[in-house]
Amino acid sequence: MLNNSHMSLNAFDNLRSTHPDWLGVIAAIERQINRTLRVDPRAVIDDDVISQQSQVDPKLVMRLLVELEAWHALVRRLFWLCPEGRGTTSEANSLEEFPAFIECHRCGQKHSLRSGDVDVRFLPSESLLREISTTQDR
Amino acid sequence: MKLKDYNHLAEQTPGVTPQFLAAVISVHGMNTFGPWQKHINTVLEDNCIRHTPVDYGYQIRRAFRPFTGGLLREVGEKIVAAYQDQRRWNLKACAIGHSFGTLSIGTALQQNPELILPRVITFGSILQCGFPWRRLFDRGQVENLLNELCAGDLWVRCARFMISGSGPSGCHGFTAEPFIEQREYEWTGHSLLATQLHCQEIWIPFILRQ
Repeated sequence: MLNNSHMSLNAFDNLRSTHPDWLGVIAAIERQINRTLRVDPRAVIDDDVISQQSQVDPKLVMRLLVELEAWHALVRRLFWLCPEGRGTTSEANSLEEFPAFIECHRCGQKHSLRSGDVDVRFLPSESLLREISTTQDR
Repeated sequence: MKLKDYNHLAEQTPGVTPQFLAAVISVHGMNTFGPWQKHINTVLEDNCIRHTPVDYGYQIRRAFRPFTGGLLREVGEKIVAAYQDQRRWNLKACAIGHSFGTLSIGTALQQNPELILPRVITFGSILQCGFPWRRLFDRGQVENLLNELCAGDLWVRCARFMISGSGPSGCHGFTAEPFIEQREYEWTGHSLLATQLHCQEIWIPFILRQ
Protein backbone atom coordinates (compact mmCIF):
# COMPACT_ATOMS: atom_id res chain seq x y z
CA MET A 1 0.00 0.00 0.00
CA LEU A 2 1.26 3.47 -0.90
CA ASN A 3 1.89 5.84 1.94
CA ASN A 4 0.77 9.49 1.91
CA SER A 5 4.08 10.93 0.73
CA HIS A 6 3.90 8.83 -2.41
CA MET A 7 0.38 9.94 -3.14
CA SER A 8 0.93 13.63 -2.52
CA LEU A 9 2.13 16.00 -5.19
CA ASN A 10 5.60 17.52 -4.96
CA ALA A 11 4.60 21.17 -5.14
CA PHE A 12 2.09 20.63 -2.33
CA ASP A 13 4.77 18.94 -0.25
CA ASN A 14 6.81 22.11 -0.71
CA LEU A 15 3.84 24.15 0.49
CA ARG A 16 3.46 21.88 3.52
CA SER A 17 7.09 22.36 4.48
CA THR A 18 6.80 26.15 4.05
CA HIS A 19 3.49 26.41 5.93
CA PRO A 20 3.34 23.65 8.58
CA ASP A 21 0.39 25.44 10.21
CA TRP A 22 -1.81 25.14 7.15
CA LEU A 23 -1.68 21.40 6.53
CA GLY A 24 -5.47 20.98 6.48
CA VAL A 25 -5.98 23.86 4.09
CA ILE A 26 -3.24 22.69 1.76
CA ALA A 27 -4.66 19.16 1.74
CA ALA A 28 -8.13 20.49 0.85
CA ILE A 29 -6.77 22.55 -2.05
CA GLU A 30 -4.58 19.68 -3.23
CA ARG A 31 -7.57 17.32 -3.20
CA GLN A 32 -9.66 19.79 -5.16
CA ILE A 33 -7.04 20.53 -7.81
CA ASN A 34 -6.16 16.84 -8.11
CA ARG A 35 -9.82 15.90 -8.57
CA THR A 36 -10.44 18.69 -11.10
CA LEU A 37 -7.44 17.81 -13.25
CA ARG A 38 -8.18 14.09 -13.22
CA VAL A 39 -11.57 14.85 -14.75
CA ASP A 40 -10.20 17.43 -17.20
CA PRO A 41 -6.41 17.90 -17.51
CA ARG A 42 -7.02 21.12 -19.44
CA ALA A 43 -9.20 22.67 -16.76
CA VAL A 44 -8.55 26.26 -15.73
CA ILE A 45 -7.86 26.62 -12.02
CA ASP A 46 -9.90 29.54 -10.70
CA ASP A 47 -9.33 30.67 -7.12
CA ASP A 48 -13.04 31.48 -6.64
CA VAL A 49 -14.07 27.96 -7.62
CA ILE A 50 -11.34 26.28 -5.56
CA SER A 51 -12.24 28.41 -2.57
CA GLN A 52 -15.94 27.55 -2.77
CA GLN A 53 -15.42 23.85 -3.40
CA SER A 54 -12.75 23.35 -0.75
CA GLN A 55 -14.36 25.70 1.80
CA VAL A 56 -11.08 27.56 2.30
CA ASP A 57 -10.67 31.30 2.93
CA PRO A 58 -10.43 32.99 -0.54
CA LYS A 59 -7.37 35.04 0.43
CA LEU A 60 -5.53 31.93 1.52
CA VAL A 61 -6.42 30.16 -1.72
CA MET A 62 -5.11 33.10 -3.76
CA ARG A 63 -1.84 33.11 -1.86
CA LEU A 64 -1.32 29.36 -2.16
CA LEU A 65 -2.13 29.31 -5.89
CA VAL A 66 0.49 32.02 -6.50
CA GLU A 67 2.98 29.97 -4.46
CA LEU A 68 2.12 26.92 -6.55
CA GLU A 69 3.05 29.01 -9.59
CA ALA A 70 6.40 29.71 -7.93
CA TRP A 71 6.87 25.95 -7.45
CA HIS A 72 6.12 25.45 -11.18
CA ALA A 73 2.97 23.42 -10.54
CA LEU A 74 0.68 26.06 -12.06
CA VAL A 75 1.10 28.46 -14.96
CA ARG A 76 -0.49 31.90 -14.91
CA ARG A 77 -3.10 32.74 -17.54
CA LEU A 78 -4.64 36.19 -17.95
CA PHE A 79 -8.27 36.64 -18.99
CA TRP A 80 -9.48 40.00 -20.29
CA LEU A 81 -13.12 40.13 -19.25
CA CYS A 82 -15.67 42.15 -21.20
CA PRO A 83 -16.61 45.10 -18.93
CA GLU A 84 -20.20 44.66 -20.10
CA GLY A 85 -20.23 41.33 -18.29
CA ARG A 86 -20.34 39.16 -21.43
CA GLY A 87 -17.43 36.89 -20.49
CA THR A 88 -13.83 36.58 -21.66
CA THR A 89 -12.91 38.72 -24.66
CA SER A 90 -9.25 37.69 -24.89
CA GLU A 91 -6.66 35.65 -23.02
CA ALA A 92 -2.86 35.66 -22.86
CA ASN A 93 0.14 34.50 -20.85
CA SER A 94 1.33 38.02 -20.07
CA LEU A 95 -0.12 41.51 -20.02
CA GLU A 96 2.14 42.69 -22.84
CA GLU A 97 0.47 40.24 -25.23
CA PHE A 98 -2.81 42.16 -24.95
CA PRO A 99 -3.43 45.08 -27.34
CA ALA A 100 -4.17 48.51 -25.83
CA PHE A 101 -7.68 48.34 -27.32
CA ILE A 102 -9.87 45.45 -28.42
CA GLU A 103 -12.98 45.10 -30.56
CA CYS A 104 -14.94 42.86 -28.21
CA HIS A 105 -16.41 39.85 -30.00
CA ARG A 106 -18.77 39.42 -27.06
CA CYS A 107 -20.54 42.80 -27.05
CA GLY A 108 -19.31 44.45 -30.26
CA GLN A 109 -17.88 47.48 -28.45
CA LYS A 110 -14.32 48.74 -28.28
CA HIS A 111 -12.64 48.34 -24.88
CA SER A 112 -9.36 49.74 -23.59
CA LEU A 113 -7.15 47.59 -21.37
CA ARG A 114 -7.93 48.25 -17.69
CA SER A 115 -6.40 46.31 -14.81
CA GLY A 116 -9.86 45.90 -13.25
CA ASP A 117 -11.01 43.91 -16.29
CA VAL A 118 -8.14 41.42 -16.14
CA ASP A 119 -8.60 38.22 -14.17
CA VAL A 120 -5.72 35.88 -13.34
CA ARG A 121 -6.35 32.14 -13.31
CA PHE A 122 -4.05 29.18 -13.70
CA LEU A 123 -3.38 26.19 -15.91
CA PRO A 124 -1.59 23.05 -14.69
CA SER A 125 2.05 22.76 -15.68
CA GLU A 126 3.19 19.75 -17.69
CA SER A 127 5.07 18.44 -14.65
CA LEU A 128 1.97 18.64 -12.43
CA LEU A 129 -0.10 16.77 -15.02
CA ARG A 130 2.62 14.12 -15.35
CA GLU A 131 2.68 13.69 -11.59
CA ILE A 132 -1.09 13.44 -11.34
CA SER A 133 -1.21 10.83 -14.08
CA THR A 134 1.35 8.68 -12.22
CA THR A 135 -0.05 8.99 -8.68
CA GLN A 136 -2.95 7.18 -7.15
CA ASP A 137 -6.24 9.09 -6.76
CA ARG A 138 -6.51 10.37 -3.19
CA MET B 1 -8.43 36.72 -8.86
CA LYS B 2 -8.16 40.31 -9.93
CA LEU B 3 -4.87 41.44 -11.46
CA LYS B 4 -4.30 43.84 -8.57
CA ASP B 5 -4.56 41.00 -6.02
CA TYR B 6 -2.29 38.82 -8.12
CA ASN B 7 0.36 41.54 -8.41
CA HIS B 8 0.23 42.20 -4.69
CA LEU B 9 0.91 38.52 -3.96
CA ALA B 10 3.42 38.09 -6.80
CA GLU B 11 5.56 40.93 -5.47
CA GLN B 12 5.90 39.02 -2.19
CA THR B 13 6.53 35.62 -3.78
CA PRO B 14 10.03 34.88 -5.09
CA GLY B 15 9.93 33.28 -8.52
CA VAL B 16 6.66 34.91 -9.59
CA THR B 17 6.59 37.94 -11.88
CA PRO B 18 3.90 40.57 -11.32
CA GLN B 19 2.16 41.79 -14.45
CA PHE B 20 2.57 45.46 -15.32
CA LEU B 21 3.01 47.34 -18.59
CA ALA B 22 5.49 49.87 -17.18
CA ALA B 23 6.73 51.41 -13.96
CA VAL B 24 6.61 55.05 -12.93
CA ILE B 25 8.57 56.92 -10.28
CA SER B 26 7.04 60.29 -9.35
CA VAL B 27 8.83 63.05 -7.46
CA HIS B 28 7.01 66.02 -5.93
CA GLY B 29 8.18 69.60 -5.44
CA MET B 30 9.22 71.56 -2.35
CA ASN B 31 6.74 73.28 -0.03
CA THR B 32 4.29 70.35 -0.45
CA PHE B 33 3.82 66.65 0.30
CA GLY B 34 2.78 66.09 -3.34
CA PRO B 35 -0.91 65.17 -3.09
CA TRP B 36 -0.99 64.90 -6.89
CA GLN B 37 1.02 61.70 -6.59
CA LYS B 38 -1.89 60.11 -4.74
CA HIS B 39 -4.40 61.42 -7.30
CA ILE B 40 -2.63 59.91 -10.27
CA ASN B 41 -1.93 56.64 -8.46
CA THR B 42 -5.42 55.28 -9.17
CA VAL B 43 -5.21 56.14 -12.86
CA LEU B 44 -1.77 54.57 -13.24
CA GLU B 45 -2.93 51.41 -11.46
CA ASP B 46 -6.04 51.21 -13.66
CA ASN B 47 -3.74 51.30 -16.66
CA CYS B 48 -1.56 48.46 -15.34
CA ILE B 49 1.36 50.76 -14.47
CA ARG B 50 3.32 50.24 -11.26
CA HIS B 51 3.76 53.52 -9.41
CA THR B 52 6.31 54.42 -6.76
CA PRO B 53 5.84 57.91 -5.33
CA VAL B 54 9.10 59.31 -3.97
CA ASP B 55 8.36 61.37 -0.86
CA TYR B 56 11.03 63.46 0.84
CA GLY B 57 8.70 65.36 3.15
CA TYR B 58 7.71 68.99 3.32
CA GLN B 59 10.86 70.98 2.52
CA ILE B 60 11.41 74.71 2.14
CA ARG B 61 14.67 75.85 3.75
CA ARG B 62 16.72 72.86 2.59
CA ALA B 63 15.74 73.48 -1.02
CA PHE B 64 17.35 76.93 -1.00
CA ARG B 65 21.05 77.64 -1.47
CA PRO B 66 23.42 76.81 0.11
CA PHE B 67 21.56 73.66 1.21
CA THR B 68 20.19 72.61 -2.21
CA GLY B 69 22.96 70.10 -2.95
CA GLY B 70 22.35 68.15 0.26
CA LEU B 71 18.64 67.80 -0.38
CA LEU B 72 19.26 66.81 -4.02
CA ARG B 73 21.60 64.04 -2.87
CA GLU B 74 19.00 62.79 -0.39
CA VAL B 75 16.18 62.78 -2.96
CA GLY B 76 18.52 61.26 -5.55
CA GLU B 77 19.14 58.30 -3.22
CA LYS B 78 15.39 57.78 -2.89
CA ILE B 79 14.97 57.91 -6.68
CA VAL B 80 17.71 55.32 -7.16
CA ALA B 81 16.17 53.08 -4.47
CA ALA B 82 12.76 53.31 -6.18
CA TYR B 83 14.42 52.52 -9.52
CA GLN B 84 16.16 49.46 -8.09
CA ASP B 85 12.88 48.25 -6.67
CA GLN B 86 11.19 48.61 -10.08
CA ARG B 87 14.09 46.93 -11.87
CA ARG B 88 13.49 43.62 -10.10
CA TRP B 89 10.88 42.84 -12.76
CA ASN B 90 12.52 44.36 -15.83
CA LEU B 91 9.80 46.94 -16.27
CA LYS B 92 10.25 49.95 -18.52
CA ALA B 93 10.96 52.67 -15.97
CA CYS B 94 9.58 56.20 -16.37
CA ALA B 95 9.69 59.27 -14.17
CA ILE B 96 7.29 62.15 -13.58
CA GLY B 97 8.73 65.18 -11.83
CA HIS B 98 7.25 68.43 -10.64
CA SER B 99 9.23 71.57 -9.73
CA PHE B 100 12.03 70.58 -7.31
CA GLY B 101 11.28 66.99 -8.37
CA THR B 102 12.46 67.81 -11.92
CA LEU B 103 15.77 69.12 -10.56
CA SER B 104 16.06 65.99 -8.43
CA ILE B 105 15.42 63.64 -11.38
CA GLY B 106 17.83 65.54 -13.65
CA THR B 107 20.57 65.57 -11.01
CA ALA B 108 20.02 61.90 -10.15
CA LEU B 109 20.43 61.00 -13.84
CA GLN B 110 23.64 63.02 -14.04
CA GLN B 111 25.10 61.54 -10.86
CA ASN B 112 24.01 57.93 -11.49
CA PRO B 113 25.02 56.75 -14.98
CA GLU B 114 23.30 53.41 -14.29
CA LEU B 115 19.94 55.08 -13.69
CA ILE B 116 17.94 54.47 -16.88
CA LEU B 117 14.59 56.21 -17.32
CA PRO B 118 13.50 55.85 -20.95
CA ARG B 119 10.50 58.17 -20.51
CA VAL B 120 10.66 61.33 -18.42
CA ILE B 121 7.80 63.79 -17.89
CA THR B 122 8.49 67.22 -16.37
CA PHE B 123 5.99 69.93 -15.44
CA GLY B 124 6.70 73.15 -13.58
CA SER B 125 10.32 72.29 -14.36
CA ILE B 126 13.07 74.26 -12.62
CA LEU B 127 15.89 72.64 -14.57
CA GLN B 128 18.03 74.98 -16.65
CA CYS B 129 16.86 75.45 -20.25
CA GLY B 130 20.22 74.14 -21.45
CA PHE B 131 20.13 71.04 -19.20
CA PRO B 132 22.29 68.39 -20.95
CA TRP B 133 19.49 66.02 -21.98
CA ARG B 134 21.43 65.26 -25.19
CA ARG B 135 24.31 63.82 -23.15
CA LEU B 136 21.90 61.66 -21.14
CA PHE B 137 20.21 60.57 -24.39
CA ASP B 138 23.59 59.64 -25.93
CA ARG B 139 24.43 57.64 -22.78
CA GLY B 140 21.18 55.70 -23.21
CA GLN B 141 19.70 56.93 -19.93
CA VAL B 142 16.75 58.78 -21.50
CA GLU B 143 14.89 58.06 -24.75
CA ASN B 144 12.01 60.54 -24.72
CA LEU B 145 11.15 63.57 -22.67
CA LEU B 146 7.83 65.37 -22.34
CA ASN B 147 8.21 68.86 -20.90
CA GLU B 148 4.98 70.68 -20.06
CA LEU B 149 5.33 74.39 -19.54
CA CYS B 150 3.42 77.53 -18.77
CA ALA B 151 4.91 80.96 -19.49
CA GLY B 152 3.05 82.44 -16.52
CA ASP B 153 4.52 80.05 -13.93
CA LEU B 154 5.79 82.45 -11.24
CA TRP B 155 7.48 79.80 -9.08
CA VAL B 156 9.60 78.73 -12.04
CA ARG B 157 10.57 82.34 -12.80
CA CYS B 158 11.71 82.89 -9.20
CA ALA B 159 13.42 79.53 -8.59
CA ARG B 160 16.79 80.44 -10.11
CA PHE B 161 17.29 83.22 -7.56
CA MET B 162 16.88 80.85 -4.61
CA ILE B 163 17.75 77.30 -5.68
CA SER B 164 21.26 76.35 -6.80
CA GLY B 165 21.53 74.98 -10.33
CA SER B 166 17.94 75.74 -11.26
CA GLY B 167 16.50 77.49 -14.31
CA PRO B 168 13.24 78.47 -16.06
CA SER B 169 12.62 75.46 -18.36
CA GLY B 170 9.06 75.26 -16.99
CA CYS B 171 8.45 78.69 -18.60
CA HIS B 172 10.69 78.73 -21.66
CA GLY B 173 11.31 75.04 -22.41
CA PHE B 174 14.51 73.10 -23.03
CA THR B 175 16.90 73.49 -25.94
CA ALA B 176 15.11 71.76 -28.83
CA GLU B 177 16.01 68.13 -29.51
CA PRO B 178 14.16 65.58 -31.64
CA PHE B 179 13.55 63.37 -28.58
CA ILE B 180 12.11 66.24 -26.51
CA GLU B 181 8.40 67.00 -26.83
CA GLN B 182 7.35 70.32 -25.31
CA ARG B 183 3.71 71.25 -24.69
CA GLU B 184 2.83 74.77 -23.71
CA TYR B 185 -0.30 75.74 -21.79
CA GLU B 186 -1.57 79.22 -21.05
CA TRP B 187 -3.34 78.95 -17.73
CA THR B 188 -1.99 75.91 -15.90
CA GLY B 189 0.38 77.85 -13.63
CA HIS B 190 2.87 75.90 -11.56
CA SER B 191 0.94 72.80 -10.53
CA LEU B 192 -2.52 72.56 -12.11
CA LEU B 193 -1.58 69.87 -14.63
CA ALA B 194 -1.40 66.93 -12.26
CA THR B 195 -5.02 65.86 -12.61
CA GLN B 196 -6.34 62.36 -13.18
CA LEU B 197 -7.78 63.47 -16.52
CA HIS B 198 -4.45 64.90 -17.72
CA CYS B 199 -2.63 61.80 -16.53
CA GLN B 200 -5.05 59.54 -18.42
CA GLU B 201 -5.10 61.55 -21.64
CA ILE B 202 -1.51 62.82 -21.95
CA TRP B 203 0.93 61.12 -19.58
CA ILE B 204 -0.17 57.49 -19.92
CA PRO B 205 -0.16 57.48 -23.77
CA PHE B 206 3.35 59.03 -23.59
CA ILE B 207 4.53 56.40 -21.08
CA LEU B 208 3.11 53.44 -23.00
CA ARG B 209 3.98 54.67 -26.50
CA GLN B 210 6.24 52.15 -28.28
